Amino acid sequence: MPHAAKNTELQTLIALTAQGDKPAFYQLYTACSSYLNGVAIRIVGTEDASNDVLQDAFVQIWNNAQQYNPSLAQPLTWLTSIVRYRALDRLAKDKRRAQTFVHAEEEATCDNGPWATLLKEQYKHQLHHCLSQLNDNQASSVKMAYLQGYSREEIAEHLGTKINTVKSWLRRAQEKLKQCLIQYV
Amino acid sequence: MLNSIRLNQYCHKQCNALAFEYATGQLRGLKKTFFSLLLEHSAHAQQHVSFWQEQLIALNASTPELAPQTRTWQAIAHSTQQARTLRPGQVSPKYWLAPAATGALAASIIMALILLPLTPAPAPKADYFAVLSDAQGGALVTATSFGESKPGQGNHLLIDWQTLADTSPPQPAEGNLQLWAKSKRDQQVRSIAVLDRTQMQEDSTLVLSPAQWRLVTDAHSLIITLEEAGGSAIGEPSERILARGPCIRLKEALL
Repeated sequence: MPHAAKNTELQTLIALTAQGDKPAFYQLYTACSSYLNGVAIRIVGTEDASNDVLQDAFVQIWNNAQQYNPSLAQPLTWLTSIVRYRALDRLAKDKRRAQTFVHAEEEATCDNGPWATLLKEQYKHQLHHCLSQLNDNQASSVKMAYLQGYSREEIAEHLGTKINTVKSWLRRAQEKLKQCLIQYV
Repeated sequence: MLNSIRLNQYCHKQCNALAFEYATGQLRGLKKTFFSLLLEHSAHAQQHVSFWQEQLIALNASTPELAPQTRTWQAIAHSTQQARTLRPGQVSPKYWLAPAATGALAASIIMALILLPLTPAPAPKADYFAVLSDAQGGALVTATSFGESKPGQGNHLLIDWQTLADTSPPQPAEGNLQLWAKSKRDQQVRSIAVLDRTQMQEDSTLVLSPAQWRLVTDAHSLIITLEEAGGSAIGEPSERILARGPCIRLKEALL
């Protein structure tokens, strides 16, 4: 299914959910829960915790579906953001991490699921092109922070450097990415 | 109006960097609380966050999917069923009169009372905000006060050195930095605190006594000076002013 049709389908399901349509809400859950659970487990590290996060997120989606504005965010971005922020909250609440570290470079070969196709089509490799302009440390820091919810302290520990150095890498990464990505907007 | 302009100026300079930190999950603690407040009111801040969320999501293209456990949907269905019965405007008033429903309501209240202690404590509320600039007009530090979210928790002042602008927090070889409040009531300058080295790092937090809190809430502006070790002996700021800036009441600025 082309990404525009998939986006429309998700938008429709969110709109119906906003009206209290339970079958549509279940359809939305069925369509995205495996992808969103995958997003959550990379941050919280255990299956039990990721399922808790998914539960909290979908209750929030049910309650806040009326607030979704398609002109501000793509539907998958909205759903993913809710899950990510709930996962980060869970991480802060637990104050510890149960996952083992996966180096950012090792994840590039992993590519499955229908949403990967949508994400790649939607963004046409623009982020990957811009990430390739960063040095390895800057790119790894961004990926560890976004994908695994690592704090600056944790990134510094894993990359064997100082926190201030990580701050500097992330700051430079933000500046370079903005400069590169803005041309696509 | 002036306060709104000042806050917008701050956002114009800092919101992109803060939005990136927010979207990547780097923004934590009181700094996150403050930015979340800004997000609720500032379309500019929202646009920056939307930009980064929309761009960074492509990183998830390589995220492996994982089927959720069966119990997850059951728990969601259970929670949303309860939430729906409580949604205003969707339930007939007659429903509440039915004896069975009354019993269900009582059970819900008992469950709510049981679960209440498990809900997170309310986040502290940001009240006052100041951008302190150096003599050249460059933002050096922001100070945000947070009123206590519940009695006994205390008031806090988040001191955030603007390392984003590539200016490391000043570390005087000798002496201390001192934070002052200039009163909007009588224009007098009074000391809030002498800053130690731990408070000269990014995102440091001062716990304010009631007296210090009153100084902040009455402040027209905040000033940071370089003083001798232990702080000014005469109770007045020296002429070595590192940064100063007006204090904004967020409630007014965010209207």
